[in-house]
Order: sequence, then C-alpha cells, then structure tokens
Amino acid sequence: MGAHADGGRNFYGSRLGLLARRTVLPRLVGDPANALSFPFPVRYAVLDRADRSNAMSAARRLVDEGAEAIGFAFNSDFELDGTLRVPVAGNLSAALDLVAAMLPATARVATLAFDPAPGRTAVPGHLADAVGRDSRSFDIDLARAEIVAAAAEAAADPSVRALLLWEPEMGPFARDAAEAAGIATYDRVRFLRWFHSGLAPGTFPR
Amino acid sequence: MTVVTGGTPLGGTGIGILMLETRFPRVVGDMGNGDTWPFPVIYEVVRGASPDRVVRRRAAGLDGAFVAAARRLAANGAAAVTTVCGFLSLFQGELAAAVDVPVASSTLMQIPSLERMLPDGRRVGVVTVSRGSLGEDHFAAVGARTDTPVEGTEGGRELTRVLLGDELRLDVAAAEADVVDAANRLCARRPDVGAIVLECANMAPYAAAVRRATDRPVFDIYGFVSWVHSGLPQSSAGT
Repeated sequence: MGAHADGGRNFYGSRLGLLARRTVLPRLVGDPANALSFPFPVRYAVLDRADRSNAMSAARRLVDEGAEAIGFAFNSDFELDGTLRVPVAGNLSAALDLVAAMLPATARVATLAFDPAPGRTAVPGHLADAVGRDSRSFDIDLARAEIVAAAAEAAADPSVRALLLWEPEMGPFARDAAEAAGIATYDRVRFLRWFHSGLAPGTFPR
Repeated sequence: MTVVTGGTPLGGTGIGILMLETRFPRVVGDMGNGDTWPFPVIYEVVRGASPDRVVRRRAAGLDGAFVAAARRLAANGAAAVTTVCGFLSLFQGELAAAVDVPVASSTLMQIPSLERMLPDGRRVGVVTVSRGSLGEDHFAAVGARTDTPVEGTEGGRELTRVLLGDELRLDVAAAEADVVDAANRLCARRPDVGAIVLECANMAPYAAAVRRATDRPVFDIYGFVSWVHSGLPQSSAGT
C-alpha cells in the first residue's frame, strides 16, 4: 500500500487549542500564555472579553480548524458548557485531584493563589498586584521571592506533601518553589503538558 | 555561598519504580526499560511478585513486600514511587501511607480527573491485559467509578499470554494488534468512551497506535509518570 495522508482540517500538529485573555502583562516561560512553555506547538485564541459565550465561540473555532482538545491559559470563573466534542482542561480542580491522589489521606496539597479562598493559601504582593492591574512590567526577582517564601512556609506544615500553583503567572517560579519547599510542585503548564500526552502519546524506536 | 543538603545515597533519581519479578521482554516504551525515560529512574524488584499472582490473584500476600520495596526506593533517593502494573491500585493507600513522597501506583489514578474534562455524556474507558481480573475494587481504590467500561487483550494472540505467562519472546507487532483490537472493541461496544486509559504499563509502546486507530485521547503510564516527574524537586533527590 502506498503512503497516503488524511486531510479534513485547516491546520495540523497543533493538537491543543488554548484560550488566553487579552492582556499586556509579560508572559514568562512557564506561564501557559507563553508558547515556549510547551515542548509541542499550541494554537491560541485570544479572548477580548473572558466570558463564557466568547470562550465557547473561540473554542468551537479552534476545534473546527483542527484542535483536538481545548485548554485554558487563565483561571476562568466559568466552565465551557460540555457541548464541545473534545476534552477541556478548564480550572485546576482536576489537577488538584490528580496531585492529591498520590498522597495518603493524612496528607494534603497546599494550593497557592493570589486571593484567599477556602483551601487555598493566599500570596498577595507584587505579582498579585501586577496581574490584577495587568501591568506591562513586573520585577521577576521580587515575584520569585514571594512565591519561594510562600512555598517554603506552606511546606513547613508536615502534613503538606505537595504544592499546586493555582495562578498561571506563578508557573515560571514552580521550579524555585519546588526546590525551596523540597516537595513536589505542580502548576497549570505541567497539567496541560500531561493533558497533551493523551493527544500525542510517546513514540519509541522499535 | 551555595549550600546543598543531602540525606540519601543517590542523587538525580526522582522516579523510583517497583518492578514485578519477571523475565518477559520489555521493549523501549515499557517503563521497565531504562531507555524509555528521558530522565534517570531507579528500580526495585519485588521478589515473588509474578504477573500471574499480581494480576490474577490480586497480589495476595504481597502488600508487605511492596511496602518494604517502596521504602527502599525512597530511602535510596526516589522523590516519587510508581509501579509497573496498573492492578497495583489496590495498594495505593498502603504505599502512600508508607513513604513520605508521592505514590503513583497505577494509571487508573488518572480516571477521576479525566472524567471531569470530557464532553457531556462521555466516559473514560480502560484497556487492560486481563478484563476478567480487573474488578470494582481496583477502581474504587483510586476513586474511579466502579462501572468504568473495560476491554481486555486476553482474547488476543500475543500480549496477555506473554505477560501473564512470563514468556521469553514477544511478537511486538502482534502485541500492538492485540491492544489496538481491544481498544477498537471498547469503542464499538461503548461509543460513549471519550478517552482511553491503558491499565497495563507494558502497553505504553502501543498508545500512539491506539490513539490513531480510535481517534480518542489515550493516557498511559509514560505520560502519567512524566507528569509526576515534572513536579519533583531535584534537591530532595540529593543533587
């Protein structure tokens, strides 16, 4: 049989479609809105307004054009409505479940977020302000120091055996947080990379 | 001044893998083949843990041996512990309580998170090496729904026989066909399957073929453990 290729869509290879907000904040490597955070191509749709209706239209367009799954590059206060025909990596509660599943019932995951919420550790400060104001610049060292201090403090509680960085803008500092805390640390980019592994399973020499 | 902290004999060995006592071939892509991984891993063989005993006889009486081996891995420097067999979900709670590092005993642990990400009305389905042996408690042990659709390769001509019989030769193309056929049967019988989890760690070499054949996302031990590794601190592994 001769080699052949199957068509049927606009683009190929970018399996993961990512919804991003229209912001001007710098997006460091490790933030899902920086394409270099991924060792595979992603295709973005930028939402002028981050609401459900806009997100649904953008997601449908990405899927129609060839995306095999949709992910969020930000924390939305809404979910897509489940009528998309592809899987969606929305908020990080699925990531939290995945991390918690590896721990005994007596241990817990500490979740670092900008704002206080039940079950989360608030990390206010320079980075939270910059994200809240959508600043064109922020001090990377200061942001790193805040995340590292919060991670170390959370891990000082012996029942905390893993960290989850809830905010996408914290992702660039996940490695620093893991080293400072000495415990496993996960974030949105790592979650999306796992999600993508299901779209493009590993291939191995034979 | 840069100060580092030790505590274990080995460094850089984030992932510790509990191995069954086997001699069947482990091709690249199988987690028991070191060339599968882009990072170093360390292994501990659990004596007496034959595939037949673990899969068909619920690893009965082996929990103490698995716990001891998990402790050896952690003491040697593993920052997370995993296993080569999805059926070991039965020991998830016991293993996680025995060491102070994360434990990813089974690919089945991915199911609850995946189900939340699928379109309305879609389920996760599982392809296993032995459908008749994969019971409700294997799912319940990791918080997955006990009515998860399952299909097995035991009706095939190669993979199940070689693994559970611990044979010395594996026809890789035939093994792949067994896994792909099982996945196709699963999707034909249950069109609501929206993603597939491969229970068996020896199936990862065939995951890409299953993805192509079924057009469903396919989650295996390779992707799962790669994610586990991505979050591990390197300093705790002694580097």
